[in-house]
Amino acid sequence: MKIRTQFIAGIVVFAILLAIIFGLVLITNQQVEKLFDQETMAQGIALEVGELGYLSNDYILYREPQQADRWNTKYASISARIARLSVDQPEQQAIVRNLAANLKNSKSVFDDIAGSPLQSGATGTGFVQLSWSRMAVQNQGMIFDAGRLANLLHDESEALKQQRNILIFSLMGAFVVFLLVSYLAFYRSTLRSLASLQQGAAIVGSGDFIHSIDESSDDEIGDLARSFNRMTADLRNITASKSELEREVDERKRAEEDLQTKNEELNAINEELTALQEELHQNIEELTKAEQEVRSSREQYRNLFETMAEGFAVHEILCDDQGTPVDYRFLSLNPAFEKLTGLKERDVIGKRATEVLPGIEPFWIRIYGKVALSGKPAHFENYSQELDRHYEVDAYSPEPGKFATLFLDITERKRGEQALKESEERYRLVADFTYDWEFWVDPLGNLRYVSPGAERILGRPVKQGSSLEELLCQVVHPDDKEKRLRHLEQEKTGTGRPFEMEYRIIRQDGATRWIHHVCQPIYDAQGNFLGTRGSNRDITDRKLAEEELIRKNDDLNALNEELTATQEELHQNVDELIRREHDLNRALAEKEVLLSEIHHRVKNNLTAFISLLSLEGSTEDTPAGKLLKQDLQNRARSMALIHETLYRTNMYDEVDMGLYLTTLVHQIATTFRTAKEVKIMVDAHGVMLDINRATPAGLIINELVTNSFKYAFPGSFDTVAARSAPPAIMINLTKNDKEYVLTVSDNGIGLPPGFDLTKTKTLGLKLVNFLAKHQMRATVEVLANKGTEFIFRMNK
Amino acid sequence: MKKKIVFTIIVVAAVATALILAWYVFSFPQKSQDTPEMISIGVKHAEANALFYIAEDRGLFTKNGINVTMKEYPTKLQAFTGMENGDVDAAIISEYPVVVSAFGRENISVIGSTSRYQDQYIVGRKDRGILHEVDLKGKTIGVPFGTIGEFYLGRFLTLNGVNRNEVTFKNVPFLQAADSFSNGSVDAVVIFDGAPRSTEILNGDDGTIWPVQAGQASYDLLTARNEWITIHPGTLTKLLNSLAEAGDYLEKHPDEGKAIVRKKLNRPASEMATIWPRFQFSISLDQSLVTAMEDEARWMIANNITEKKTVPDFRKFIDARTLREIKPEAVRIIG
Repeated sequence: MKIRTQFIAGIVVFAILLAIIFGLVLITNQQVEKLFDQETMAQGIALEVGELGYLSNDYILYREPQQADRWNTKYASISARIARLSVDQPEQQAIVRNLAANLKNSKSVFDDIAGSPLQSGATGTGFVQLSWSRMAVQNQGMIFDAGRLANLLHDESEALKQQRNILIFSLMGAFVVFLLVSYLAFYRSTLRSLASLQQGAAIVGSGDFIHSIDESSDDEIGDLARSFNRMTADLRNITASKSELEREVDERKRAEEDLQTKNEELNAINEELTALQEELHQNIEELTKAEQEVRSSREQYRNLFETMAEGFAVHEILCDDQGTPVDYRFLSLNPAFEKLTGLKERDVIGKRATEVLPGIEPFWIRIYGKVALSGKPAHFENYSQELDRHYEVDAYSPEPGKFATLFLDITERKRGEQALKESEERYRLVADFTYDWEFWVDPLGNLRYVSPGAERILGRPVKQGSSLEELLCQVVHPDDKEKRLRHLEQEKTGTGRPFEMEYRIIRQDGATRWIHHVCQPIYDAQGNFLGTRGSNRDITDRKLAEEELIRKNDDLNALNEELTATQEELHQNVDELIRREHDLNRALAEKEVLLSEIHHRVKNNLTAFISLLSLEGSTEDTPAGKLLKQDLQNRARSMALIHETLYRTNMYDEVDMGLYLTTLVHQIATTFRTAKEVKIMVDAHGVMLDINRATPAGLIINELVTNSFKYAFPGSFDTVAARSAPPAIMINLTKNDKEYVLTVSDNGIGLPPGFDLTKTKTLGLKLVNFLAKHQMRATVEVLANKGTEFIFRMNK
Repeated sequence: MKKKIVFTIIVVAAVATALILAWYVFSFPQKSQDTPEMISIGVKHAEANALFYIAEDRGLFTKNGINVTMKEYPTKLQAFTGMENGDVDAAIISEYPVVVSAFGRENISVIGSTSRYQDQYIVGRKDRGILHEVDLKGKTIGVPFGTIGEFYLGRFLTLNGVNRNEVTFKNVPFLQAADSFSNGSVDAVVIFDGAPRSTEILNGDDGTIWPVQAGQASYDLLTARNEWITIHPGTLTKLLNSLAEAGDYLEKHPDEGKAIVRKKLNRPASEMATIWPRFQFSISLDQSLVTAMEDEARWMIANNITEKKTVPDFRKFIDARTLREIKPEAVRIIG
C-alpha cells in the first residue's frame, strides 16, 4: 500500500473515532440529563407527597375548606408530575403505576374523610387518629415509591455515565492500538525500505555500479528503488568508454604538468635575474647618490667653513726630542679666524705659533699638544695676552699629531660678566642691608639671591639657591597660595612686566603677616632673560591700620547712615509738624471765622437790641424814660462795639483798646448834644486788653463818659473860666510791667461833695463799681481836683 | 508529503487546543465585569447556610456580580434582630420568628426558603414502658414551654390519639432535655437535634424516638426588610440566582456539595453523615411553609402567646416575585 494511502486511512480512522466519541458523549449526556430530570421529578413528587400529608393533617385537625382546597390543588400537582414521568425500565414503570394508584387511593381516603361528619370528644380524637393513620399509610407509600424511583433513576444515570466512560476509553484504546499497528505494519516497513534505499545509495555512491537495491516494496519507496537501480545500470554502461578517455586525459595532463613545471623553473630563474639586475641598479643609484651627497657635503662644509661665525683652524703639533709639545704650525684656517684673531691667512699658514705669536702663553701649546697627542677633545675658555682677547675654544684631533680648533671671541661677554659681577656685588651689598626681603629668582625658579631680611620676615632661614616654589608652598597663606604660585610662573618665564601684589604668609611661629611684593624681570645686554628681581615688604602694620581705617570708615558710614535715617526722621517730623501747623492754622482760621461770625452776630444782636430800644423810645414821651433808653442803648453799643472791634481786627483774644475806646467815646459823643463843645481825648494806643476785661472797661467808660456829658458841663459852669481850659473829657489807658491803669476824667464841674462811689445810688455808678471790682478786679480811685477823675488799676 | 503531514498535525493540534479551551471556558463560572454589589447576610453557623457556602466556594456570587458577607450570630433569632436593626441586609432565620413578627408588623418579607428539615424529636424512655405513641398516656413529657416544640408535641399527641389531658407537661428547655431524660425526671422529652448530648440520646438504645413534627418541616428562610427589597431588586435577583445555581450544583454533585459544607462547618464526617440526610436544600417557596406558619399562628392564639385572635395572612409576608422570575417552578404556593 502506498504511504499516502496509509496516511489518509489513518486520518480517516482518527476522524471517525473522534466523531463517534463526540456523538456518544452527546447522546449519553442527553440521556443522563433526561434521567436527571426524571430523578428530580421523582424527588419533587416525594417532597410534594410529604406536603400533601402535612396538608392532610391540617385538614383532619381543622376541617376548613381552605385546607381542602390546598389539598386538592397539591393532589392535582402531584398527579401532573406523575403523568410527566417517562421511564423505560419495567421496574420503574411499575413504580410509576404504583405511585398513580396510591395517589388515587389517597384521594379516595381524603374524600372519605372529608365526607365524614366532624366529631368531638374521644370519638373525635379517635377519628382524627384513624384518619391521619389512613392518610399517612398512603402518603408514606408514595414517598417510599418516589424515593425508590429517584434512586433507580439515579443508579441508571450513573450506570449510563459509567458505560459512556468505558466506551470512550475503549475507543481511545482502539485508536491507540490502531496507531501501534499502523506503526508496526506500515511505518516500520517504510522505515526499513528507506534504510535499505539509503544503504544502496551509499554503495552506488562509492562507485559500485553493480550493486542493486531491493525493490520488492509496493509503495513509493519501491518506486524510488527501481528508479535508482535504473540509474545505476545507465551509469554502469557509460563507464567503459569513459575509462579510456580518462587515461588519455591523464597522460596529457601529466605532460602539461611537466611542461608547466619546467616553465615555472625558467620563470623563477628569470625572476631571480631580474631581481639581481634591479639590485645592481639600486647599488649604482645609491653610489651616485652617495657621491652627490659627499659632494654636497663638501660644498656645505666649505660654505660652513667659509661663513661660520666661529673661528676654525687646523694645526700640526710640534714636539721636541722627548715628544713634549713645544709649538704648533698653522695648516689651514677660515675667514672667521682672521676676523676673530686679526691674523691673516697668508701671514700664518705654514708658520709656527711662536713665530706668529711670539708671546703666546705656554698653556695654549700644552692644551693643544695634549689634544693632538691623546686624541681627547678639550673645551675651555682662556685669555690670550698676545691678542688681548678672551676665547672659548673647542679643540679636537682630526688625526694623530694634528688638532683643529673651533673658537669664539667671548671678550665682550667676559667683560659684561665682570661688570655684572661687580654690579651684583654692589647690589648685594645694598640688598644685604635692606630691611626688606630682597631676592633674585633665576629662570629655573631657584633663588639666586635672597637677602637676610627674608629670615626676619619669614621667621625661618632661607638658603640661597633653594627653590622659591618650595619656599612659597611652605610659607604662603592657603588662601593666597594659588595666586602667588601663578605669579611665580611669570617670574620664571620673564614674560611678566613689573608687577605688584599683596599676599599673606604664615611665619614659623604661626603669625600671619601681610607682604607687599614688587618685582620685575631682568635681562642682560643681549636681551637674555636672567630671572626676576623682587622685593617683599612686611606691610602687616599698614594692613592692620588700613583694616582699622576701613572698620572706622564702616563705623562712620554706619553712623552716617544712622544720621541720615535720623535726618530723614527729622524731616518727616518737620513735615508732620508743618502738616499739623497747617492743620492748626486751618483750624485756627476756621475758629477765627467762627469767632468772627460769633462776634459779628453778637454785635448784630446788640445792634438789633439797640434798634429795638430806639423803636421803644419813639413811643416813650417822658424825658426820664428817654434817658433810660439812651443809657441802655449806649451800654449795649459799648458791648456791640467790643465785638465789632474784635471781628474787624481779626483778633479774638485781645481788644485793641486804642481803636475801641476812640470809636466808643465818639459814638457816645454823637448821642449827646451839649451846649458847649466838649473835647474828647483818648489815649490808649498800643494797649491790648483781653475781652474779659475790655468789656467791663468799655461799659465803665461808657457810664463815666455818659455821666460827664450829662453832668460835668452844665450851662452854668464856665469851664474855661474855672479850669482855664475848654470842656474836655480824657480817657487814658496805659500799662507798665505790673498793671494797667485806666483813667477817665473831665474838667467839668466835678462831683458833689461827699461823693462815695461805694455808696452811690445811681445805677450807672453802681454798675461802674460792680464791674471794676468783680470783673476787672481793679481798684478804683476817685479824684476831684479839677473836675472828676476816676483811676482804675488792675494787675496784668 | 512531508508538508502535508506537518499541516495535518498542526490542524489536529489546533482542533484539540480549541476543544480544551472550550471545555475550560464553559466548565468554570464567568466573573461579572461589573463592580460587585455588597450584601450582608446575618446567619447562624449551621447547615442552614449550605447553599451560601456552596455558592461562595464555587464563586457563584462573584460570577453574578455580588459580594456577599455572612455575619455570624449566636442564634437565628439574633440574626433576625440584626436584620431588623439594619445591621445586615438580610438574614437566614426559622419560620417561627416570622410568625411572631407577623402579629406585630408587616415590614419584613420572606424571599425564599433555603432548606427544610425536621430536627425535633420526642424520645420516650423504654424502661418506663414507652414503646408506642399511645404509651405516652399518663406519662410526664418534658418540653420547653412557649416554643414551637410545644406546638409540635400537642399536634403529635392529637394525631396519635392521645388527649392533652392524659399526659403531664413539664417545662424542660432544650438545653436540659438530655439531662432530664437521663436522670429520669421525665418519662419522655422533646429534644432537638443539635442540643447538648442530643446525639448521644438520639443514637442510644434507651429511648423510643419519633419525629415530633409529624410531617411539618422546619424552614430556613431568607428574609429581608421590605425597604431593602424595594431598593435592591437587582441585587436580590443576583443573590437568588446564585443560590439557585448552588442548589443545582448540589443536586448534580451531592458529594462535592456536602464536602464543601462539611469543610466550612468543620464537622466530623460521622456527625455530618447523621445530620445531612435530614435536610433538603433548595431555594423555594412551598405551600407547606404558609400552612406551617398558619398552624403556628393558630397555636399561638390558642395558647394566648399573642393577644391577637386572628391568624395573619402570611402570603403578605412572602415576596415570591423575584424567585418566580428566576425559577418559577420553585414557587409552589397555592393559596
